[in-house]
Amino acid sequence: MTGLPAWKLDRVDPGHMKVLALLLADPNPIHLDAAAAQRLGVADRPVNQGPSTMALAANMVLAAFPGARLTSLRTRLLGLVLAEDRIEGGGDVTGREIVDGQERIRCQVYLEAPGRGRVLDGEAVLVLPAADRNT
Amino acid sequence: MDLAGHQLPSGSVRLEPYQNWLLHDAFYAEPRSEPHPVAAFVLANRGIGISLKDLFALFGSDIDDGPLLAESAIELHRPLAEDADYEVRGTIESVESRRSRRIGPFDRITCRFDLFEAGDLAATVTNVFAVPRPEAGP
Repeated sequence: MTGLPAWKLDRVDPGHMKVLALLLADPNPIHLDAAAAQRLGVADRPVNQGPSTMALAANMVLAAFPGARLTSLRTRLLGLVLAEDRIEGGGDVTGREIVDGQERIRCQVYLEAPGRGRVLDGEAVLVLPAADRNT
Repeated sequence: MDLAGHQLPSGSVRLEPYQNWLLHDAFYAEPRSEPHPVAAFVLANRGIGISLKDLFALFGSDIDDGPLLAESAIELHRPLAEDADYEVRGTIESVESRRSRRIGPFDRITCRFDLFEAGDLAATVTNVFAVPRPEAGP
């Protein structure tokens, strides 16, 4: 197995959550308002939306394979990602195959919030650009 | 009501170029014309013909109680496109009663959303929600 390069996001920005709440039409208050997250006993800071955490995993594998196209992303959301968190990730290439003349890469991926443990694990499948074949 | 097999009302959605830019930025990605792969989740959420608040009401839950997504799978059958019209069809695939140490009894509810562009299946998003089912008091 080949490891993916180490990946990190220095800061989860609560402003991004507010824009995403509008784009998602998601009124869940825990993504907008620290007081609501506290009142519900969820966290003391706004909680990152699940699809945003998934997007971080997608960004990580796309950074590892520039020009590739992500065709599948299957994730389990294991813990909360909170505003101001630093997120680190990694994974392994677990398979390569040629399908319809295109090379497909299968990866196991994970993300962690240092100090709180794993927040996501999953599997991604990417199609490599033709120029990357046999490299 | 038995939720498993329930068809959600279909609807349609378009990712405008400015929304595509904002979505990349919100996802910590460099904006570009091809939508971010996780845009499929956003299109499913926005395009299905029921609001998230009403979807959770259908589950017998309340969006204001801060429900969380437990699992999600995105399958892109073709690249997504900005400024394209997507028809979104959805189904509640299954409801399983479970119990966890952290949240107690809950229903694991799986919803599938299919995105069609010009009649062809473009993406499938399958979301699993953990909906707490508090036990009645004595």
